Amino acid sequence: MPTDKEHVHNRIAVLRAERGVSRRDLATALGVHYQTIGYLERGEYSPSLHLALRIAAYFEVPVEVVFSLTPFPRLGSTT
Amino acid sequence: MKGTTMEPTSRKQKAEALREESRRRAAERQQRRDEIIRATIDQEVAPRWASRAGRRRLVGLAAGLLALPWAAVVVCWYLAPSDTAMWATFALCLAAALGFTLIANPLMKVTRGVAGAPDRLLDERQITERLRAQALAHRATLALLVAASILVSTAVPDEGNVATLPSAVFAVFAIALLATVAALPMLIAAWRMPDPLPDDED
Repeated sequence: MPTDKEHVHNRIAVLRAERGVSRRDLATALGVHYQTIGYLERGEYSPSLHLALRIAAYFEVPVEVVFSLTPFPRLGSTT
Repeated sequence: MKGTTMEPTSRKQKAEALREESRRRAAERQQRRDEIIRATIDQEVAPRWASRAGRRRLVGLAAGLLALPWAAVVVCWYLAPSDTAMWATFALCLAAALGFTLIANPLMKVTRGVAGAPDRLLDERQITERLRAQALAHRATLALLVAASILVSTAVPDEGNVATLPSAVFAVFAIALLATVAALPMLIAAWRMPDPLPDDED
């Protein structure tokens, strides 16, 4: 499990829900175990650069849209 | 003349074709094996082992089995050479081997392949998890060896710098040590395994 210092925030769950993609579908597309997607979403595992880039490519967004070192602002927040 | 120059080439081609066929068959066999392992990894885990507490009970059971060859070492130490020591050692080692044969499959299932499946079937998170378990197992084995050497150096009857021990002790000790080194990474991986997430498709 990554320490607080190494924690990488991500928006995989949001993107997945928005596109209607299941964990299993995303896992199959990326060639990883479906539980790995769950651990990524829960922040219990930080992906390698290669996997992070592949996740971003899957959702067709820049990598910084999916991953960030600081928490993403909540939807509807003004800051 | 033409025949003699063609023959080696045709023999080479035949050999190459045979090698190619053998490679293809080996690849097919591996693919079938991988499919079986993948199906095992993704099988539903028995409810009694699905939770962290359940997995740790399974690890406890495996640790108990792993203790059997060590018990055989103690038996040999005190009773060998004798029929009692021989049969007790056979019984303990056989029970451990049979128990592990039965428990290996559930262990692989509860760890989703981190314990037991070949590397090529694991993703980067699972391989990291396996490496961590192996590193911890290495440290644990080292600690075990230090403890065993201290125990042996204090327990061995030392009469005039000549230690006398039944030779069976060394053979059974080697078996127990091998079993520990082989099994410990699996047990540590199963012990550390976090709870699986509920499926979002439900």
